[in-house]
Amino acid sequence: MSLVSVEHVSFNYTRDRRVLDDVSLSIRTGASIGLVGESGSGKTTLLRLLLGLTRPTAGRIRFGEAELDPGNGAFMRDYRRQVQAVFQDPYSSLDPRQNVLGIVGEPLRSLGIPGDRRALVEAALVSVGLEPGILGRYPHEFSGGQRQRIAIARAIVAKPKLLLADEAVSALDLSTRIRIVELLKRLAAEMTLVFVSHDLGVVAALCDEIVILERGRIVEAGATRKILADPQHPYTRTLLDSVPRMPA
Amino acid sequence: MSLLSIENLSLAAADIPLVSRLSFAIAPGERLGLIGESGSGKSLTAMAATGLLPRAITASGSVRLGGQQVIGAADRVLDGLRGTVSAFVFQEPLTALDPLMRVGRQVAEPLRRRTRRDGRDLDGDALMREVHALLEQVALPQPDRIARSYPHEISGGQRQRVAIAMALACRPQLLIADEPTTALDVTTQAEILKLLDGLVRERGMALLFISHDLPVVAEVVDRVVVLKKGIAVEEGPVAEVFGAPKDEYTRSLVAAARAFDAALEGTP
Repeated sequence: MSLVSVEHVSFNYTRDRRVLDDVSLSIRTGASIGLVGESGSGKTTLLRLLLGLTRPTAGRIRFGEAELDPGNGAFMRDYRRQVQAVFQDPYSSLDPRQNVLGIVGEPLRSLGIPGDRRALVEAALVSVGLEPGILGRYPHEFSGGQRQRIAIARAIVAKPKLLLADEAVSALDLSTRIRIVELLKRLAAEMTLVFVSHDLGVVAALCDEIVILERGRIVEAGATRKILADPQHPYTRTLLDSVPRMPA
Repeated sequence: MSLLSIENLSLAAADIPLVSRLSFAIAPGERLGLIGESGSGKSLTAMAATGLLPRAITASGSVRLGGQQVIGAADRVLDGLRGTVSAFVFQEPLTALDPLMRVGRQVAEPLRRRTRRDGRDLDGDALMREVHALLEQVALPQPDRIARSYPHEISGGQRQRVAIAMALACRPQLLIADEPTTALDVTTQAEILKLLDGLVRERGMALLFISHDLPVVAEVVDRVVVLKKGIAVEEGPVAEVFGAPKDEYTRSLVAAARAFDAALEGTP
């Protein structure tokens, strides 16, 4: 069943340039989808639309039966509970003046989720591989990889159905990156994941499906294994050929 | 004799060690990769090699560039080495270029300095003709238009090509490139790597290539030094270090890089 469907969505920031052009996409419950594209492909804009931060210029996005409407406060409150995000830069996505309890507990507070906040936050920290004892510490005390784990804990604490990640491992070192990819892969077994990235290697390691965007259009979409083994579109082939590989 | 010879280099900021007793050398025409993650000291090492260290960082040991001691050298001495012996390509071409100066003039500056060094004083049309020739050598289309453009009017890949053209204008014996493709898209990266590789080979330049990205490094260098928290943990030919890494840290990096490769091959 489709959790989110993007139906003929177009988006322009200015009148003369289309950032997204007639994009349609079905995100099935339980899927892990990699949205791959280079700068200017529209991948971040698509993610902003999925987050309800902007409205499509044409077309619509449906969440279950309802239409995603950023102007509908009641709908958006429920949507925020079901859809959470992890961003690229773990140095700017955490409030430096809040401790870990405040940061990870924020969605519980702002969404009015009942229960023992401290216990829920501790459980989220454990599930991302952090010690529950760090509740009183501040972002500057952590490394980039640990900060990204904190950001992921914040995204999953309210038990969303859909996790949206925007270049969530791009700012991390190689050895940290592979561990965060493993963590996301484990989490993706329990929820739906949309992972936006320019890095095909990471997407191949993490996602079952790939959607390739070029200049605002989907040029190819399908099962990861199939696209890697037998890319149809010339742009997909160029992308795949451009990824540097280790010498044999 | 080595073009660049670093011996027992230690760098520190307010008693915090950043690089410890690092030694390596680059012979004319040799291509060396400096690999490390954030905080490994790889960029600081490159800056130390050309005397670009911020004042707050203290250096000890020896850095000889073109036979000349760099540590403690006066700016006048360093000026003589920059461009002649070494030239630098930085990671972010948008900040490396002057936003208020047309691209053609930016390339003309080092070009003019070098031709003066060679005893030819170029100006006017003759200078602009050589600027266009340089822009063509870095495979920029429509060199006329690019030369008239400001940096914000061209793409990231084109800006990096301009930065490379400026470095080439100096005809250095050693090109130092610090993560020159990290800010670029993967298809652009492939083009820039190919360009750099071709230019360095053609001119017999030596190359110091700094990157965290193992497969990228493997494409352009013959030998690598792996840095971890300011300490060289392993050094050797690419095939040896990536094929049979001895150090545990190198092994973990190579394993991570190979895991992403395997995922791309569909054999995780």
